[in-house]
Amino acid sequence: MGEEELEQLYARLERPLCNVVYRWLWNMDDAQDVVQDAFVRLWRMRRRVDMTTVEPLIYKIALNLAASRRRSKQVWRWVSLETIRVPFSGDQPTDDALASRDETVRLCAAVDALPEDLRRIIMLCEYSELSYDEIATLLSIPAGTVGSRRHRALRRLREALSDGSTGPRGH
Amino acid sequence: MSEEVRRVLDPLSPPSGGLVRLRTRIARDEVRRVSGRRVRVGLGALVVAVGVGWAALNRGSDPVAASPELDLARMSLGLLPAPTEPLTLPEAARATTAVLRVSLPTDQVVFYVMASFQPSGAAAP
Repeated sequence: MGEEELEQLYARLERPLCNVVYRWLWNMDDAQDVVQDAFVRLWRMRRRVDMTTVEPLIYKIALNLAASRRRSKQVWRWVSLETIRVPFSGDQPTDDALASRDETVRLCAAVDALPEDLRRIIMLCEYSELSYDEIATLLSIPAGTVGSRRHRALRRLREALSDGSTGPRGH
Repeated sequence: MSEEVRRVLDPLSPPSGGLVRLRTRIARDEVRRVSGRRVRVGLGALVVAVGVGWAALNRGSDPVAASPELDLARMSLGLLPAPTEPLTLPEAARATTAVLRVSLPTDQVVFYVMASFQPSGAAAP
């Protein structure tokens, strides 16, 4: 893999990868940092990389790095939801901005409440352009399981959101 | 998919300038790896140098010379008469003195080579 190929890959996958990783870290700067870290690692192993399977590989590296970084934040379950960046227009947050922040925290808590395996499935299905077969290979599960887990993840998400009592939880 | 679920999964855009930052990070990583390799090579050379120095400083002591009556060099120069009767090596010289019988076509003559040697195997002059 050459430098140009790597940059093309980055340009194509930066957004979907950041969106997947963001759901682990809840901070877009951190998410982009993890994605770049994944690309640096990919560059280090460029001589061994098979271009036909590079996309599942970069998702796998990024997901592992995201999970690792999340674990390294010892108090992530409180900190992560408290540091979600919701832009305020002035020095004093308005009621609307506070309501929007509360709503964002609630939505994020619903995703955080998903078990790791379901979250991986739903984020990969949602943002990556990988096929079910590729996702199955990436996660080392049968292809049929991808669809059923995605369905289960969406159901849990709906339940958590309709419940309205979802708070930040660990796994 | 419900509206709320859709909002949870609403795609976001990463900060701009990502590609430029990636190039910088890769370049920095390459520099760090090259300098790391140099440090490892330098450390390896240092370890080898220390090992060689240590070995040189701790090399075995010189062999104890055989008794003066068995000085082959002086004998061959005619400065010392050949022994006419069996000699006994001093105790200290036994560990570093070797005698080798040289095979000759006749049994009438028996010839021995005798030398002091280093414990590592190199013969001393």
